[in-house]
Amino acid sequence: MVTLIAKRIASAIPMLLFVSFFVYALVDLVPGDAATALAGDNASAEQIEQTRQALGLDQPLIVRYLDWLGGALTGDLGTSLYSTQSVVQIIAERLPVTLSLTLVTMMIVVAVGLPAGIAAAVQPNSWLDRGLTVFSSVAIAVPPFIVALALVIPLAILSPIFPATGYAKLTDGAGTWLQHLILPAIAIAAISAAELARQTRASLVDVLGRDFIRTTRSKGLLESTIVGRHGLKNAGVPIVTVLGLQVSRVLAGAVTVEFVFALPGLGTLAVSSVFSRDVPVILGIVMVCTVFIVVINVIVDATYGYLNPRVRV
Amino acid sequence: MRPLLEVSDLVKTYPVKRNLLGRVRERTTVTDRVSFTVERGETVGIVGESGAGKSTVGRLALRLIEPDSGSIVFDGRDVLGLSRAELREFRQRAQMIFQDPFSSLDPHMTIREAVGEPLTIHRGLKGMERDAAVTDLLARVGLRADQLDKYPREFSGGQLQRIAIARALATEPDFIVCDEPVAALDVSIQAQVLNLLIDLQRERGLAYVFVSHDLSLVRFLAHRVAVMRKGVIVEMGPTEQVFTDPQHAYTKTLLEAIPDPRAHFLGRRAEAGAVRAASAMVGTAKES
Repeated sequence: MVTLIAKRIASAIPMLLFVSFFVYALVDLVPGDAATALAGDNASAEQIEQTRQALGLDQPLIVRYLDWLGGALTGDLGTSLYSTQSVVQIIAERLPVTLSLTLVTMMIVVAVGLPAGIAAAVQPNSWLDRGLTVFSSVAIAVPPFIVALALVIPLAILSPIFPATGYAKLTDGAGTWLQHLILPAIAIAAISAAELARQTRASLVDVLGRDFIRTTRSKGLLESTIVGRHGLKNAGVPIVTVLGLQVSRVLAGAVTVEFVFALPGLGTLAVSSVFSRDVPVILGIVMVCTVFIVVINVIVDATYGYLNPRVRV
Repeated sequence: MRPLLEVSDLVKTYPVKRNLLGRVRERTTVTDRVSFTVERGETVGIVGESGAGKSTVGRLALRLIEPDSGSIVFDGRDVLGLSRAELREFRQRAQMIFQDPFSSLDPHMTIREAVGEPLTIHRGLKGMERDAAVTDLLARVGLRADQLDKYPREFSGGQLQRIAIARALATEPDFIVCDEPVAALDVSIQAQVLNLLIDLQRERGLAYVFVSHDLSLVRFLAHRVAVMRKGVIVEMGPTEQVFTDPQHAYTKTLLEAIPDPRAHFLGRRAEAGAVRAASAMVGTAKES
């Protein structure tokens, strides 16, 4: 198991290098650069050139990238082009918001998706099952920011039960913290919960139809034990896979939904940095998210080992 | 004394067509008013072609599937009217051995867990006590204690079927439905498993319902035999009587279809002889 995890982490290193270079090159390809944006609308060509030199943007792409990479390896992701703050500092301020949002969203995804999928699988083709299929199709089709708007209007504006915008720290009290996160979390969770429910239903229906489940019935086990111990454990690998994939989807959803709810997280930071071409910040965000997703994948892989003895060897 | 199991007029149908709203428009009958009894210590064979409803009868008798109508009385109690707790008690006394031993075991459970699970539920055994009981059961079916922590995929078919038998014996049942228990096994291993079943019957007075399409096996094992066709028992009686003096036309056809190994073998030998003679002749012709 330790070897398995070590291997997964080792294989993540080339991936991180590739992602960082890809994003670096991608931002560079976009017409115009930070110097143009920074020098202002009325700047002369000379002034722009000066700014460019000051930022080191006149260097070839590969030189700039290697320079950035050297810093990144020592934990220095550079400084924002627009403020004196270091990228690490800016991200550290925003990260707790996005992490809180991801955490609450994933809790909703699991709390809704898993039981819904199990209930549908236990009674396939029932009204509940059909209802879930219809409901999940709708949830998967609607993008998170539309769900966000649909939630804000009745629950925050017409009857102000939840705040429409803003964020409260966990240190301000768990209740207030949750109150600020619940609507954006539901908006992002809808798609993921629907996908998790569908995957759970599909894999569990398949497993519950297998011969050994009939054996467990003949053993006289309780239905809950059959579904929990024998069903879910055997259906677990695809369920955990989908759950792991939802983490990256939730992070992607955070970009738009944080904007709708004016949450000061990585999503809003990413959007504003893209508009201002603040390359160091964009790279910083991408790298933090990539590392986060790599960690999630390692956890998912470790779970496979628990769920499937064949992976352990 | 009343028989151990009395099955009367069991009917089971399955939906074949549904309309848009999911209402059933057409059903197919799998078993039609099936009735038979099983005495203590007796083996009742159920034979018939594929799709005759043999396995369904076995599963209905254990209430692993619910019949549409009919009654099942086990040791004087109405099985269909049992409460949840009573049903668990019934499951302890009436077990099943399935055709495919590999798919009938949970691939994620070691043999210790698979055989131990019924011991915990029905006999409340845990830890060392449970392990000792599992080891005993495995020894009874000829498996070693050092194989306890292996998974089903690490065993051969014959070993798995013996594990399945150990699992079925774990609850100390009076009655076992054996659904084609040796159909998936090699002939040499079939004999081992069948002898084990016979030994266990002698030792513990077990009653079996032995479902099989293999008539010679049923003749070897069963005291009485029921012949099924299209969901109906067409003939039932003591095994020797049914095999030597079949009453129903279908039973006769079924018995005629048993290949006579001797005739088959002699036929093949004659054929081989003829081929050899012919090739020898061709050989001589070529030489000349």
